[in-house]
Amino acid sequence: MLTKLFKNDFAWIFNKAMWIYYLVLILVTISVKIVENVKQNLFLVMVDKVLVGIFISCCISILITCFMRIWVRFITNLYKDESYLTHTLPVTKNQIFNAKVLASIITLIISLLVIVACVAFAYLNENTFEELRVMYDSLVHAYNGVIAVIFVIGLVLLIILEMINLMMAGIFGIIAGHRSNNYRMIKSIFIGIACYFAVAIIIVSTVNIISENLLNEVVTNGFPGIKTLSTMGLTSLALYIISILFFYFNSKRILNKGVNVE
Amino acid sequence: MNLLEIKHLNKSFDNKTILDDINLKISKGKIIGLLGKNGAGKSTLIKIINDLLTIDSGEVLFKGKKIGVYSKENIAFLPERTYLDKSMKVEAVINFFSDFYKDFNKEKAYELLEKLDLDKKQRITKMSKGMQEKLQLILVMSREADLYILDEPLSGVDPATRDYILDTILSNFKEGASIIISTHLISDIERILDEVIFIDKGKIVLQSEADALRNKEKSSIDEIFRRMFKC
Repeated sequence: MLTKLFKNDFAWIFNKAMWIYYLVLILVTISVKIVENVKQNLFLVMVDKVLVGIFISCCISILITCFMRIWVRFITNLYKDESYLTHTLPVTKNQIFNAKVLASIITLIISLLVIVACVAFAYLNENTFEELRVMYDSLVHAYNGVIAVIFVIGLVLLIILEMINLMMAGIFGIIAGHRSNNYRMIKSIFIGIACYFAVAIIIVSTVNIISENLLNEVVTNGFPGIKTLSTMGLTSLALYIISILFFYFNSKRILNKGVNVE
Repeated sequence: MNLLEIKHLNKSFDNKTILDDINLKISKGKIIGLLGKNGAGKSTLIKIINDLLTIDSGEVLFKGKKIGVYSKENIAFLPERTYLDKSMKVEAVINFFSDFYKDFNKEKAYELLEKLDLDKKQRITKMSKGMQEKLQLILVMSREADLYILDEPLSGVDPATRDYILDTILSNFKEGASIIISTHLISDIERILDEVIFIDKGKIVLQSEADALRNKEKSSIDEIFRRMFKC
């Protein structure tokens, strides 16, 4: 049943609208690449600047659309007209929730991959590649090869976790906000935003407290020490995971208590 | 064992009592009219039976089990609003129901689609509200459920279509199953009812066999209802 639910949720979230955004981004990416390679006069430089602006807007639009579709799916399918079907399907509330979360995470990761692939295609040339290599070499020089690889992987993981955390804060806000009978949307938005910022403040404060040597090490060596770096990285990862799990299990707990559809 | 049993059910919204100590038993093989004025609590009661609303206190049991996956496998519910995903086509909706409900009869659904002049290739978004309601009726009546709950199936429908809807319901429900029809259009459904439940201000004020009530009061259910709830 989970697979069937997932299939439907994924088809709804990852529908034509997302494909159109991806297509537009790909077209803009190709244009950026062409103009980047041939810009020889003022006009083409200006075109390049405009295209870069459109490119950034497209990337942001994809992320916004992705988040909006995920959150709208939760609202319409759990509390609006469609909920009359969702909650009368012979499945558990856990299955309904898990299918939606899974479909949301996959859509989010696909969107991030499309954006990363387009950025790489548009801007990865000999010069930028060389700049990245120099940055990486300086990391290897400061630590060692293994640490440098772990650092890069950790950074990518942190970005993905940050996105999932934002998504889960929104989902938690929707489910908690719809417990009451009045002002459901306002409460959902308020709870979602408050939870997201609370988690952000907790993470920044904790990392700040435990990385007291960070500034000294950066000033002295140009890089933080391995111990500081690993403590910072691991703490951030742990806090993000705790936050995501908190939102996940509490959303499920509230949903399992029952819904009051509109 | 009763098909459905409700014990001391209470539900309120913002300190306003909507259902007040509801006790109800529904047995097998009956067509029951859940009758009451607008705002009497009919839809709230139906939503609770279908797990669409939480309860303040009390118990709702389907074949002795609390409302959950088992009850949803065996109750076919037609809500008063259109609940289908507008982006889907009729065919996809039928496949969706077939995927989730073991008792869904696909062939019967296609047969009813033809009878009611609906195109299986049509998108829901292109269908009128009336057509969507017809489709929902087909989906519900294509199930071989033990209990059919129809919330205001006749509201917003012209008199000729009402008869057609009632005939569709009567000729397609599973033998031995029960049907609860909630409505305030009593005269239209009176002829098919075995039992009536009158609900007013969140309380069940009467539950009786339809014939016994008619004989006792020497008038139709519609007249009894009008007398009882005269403003």
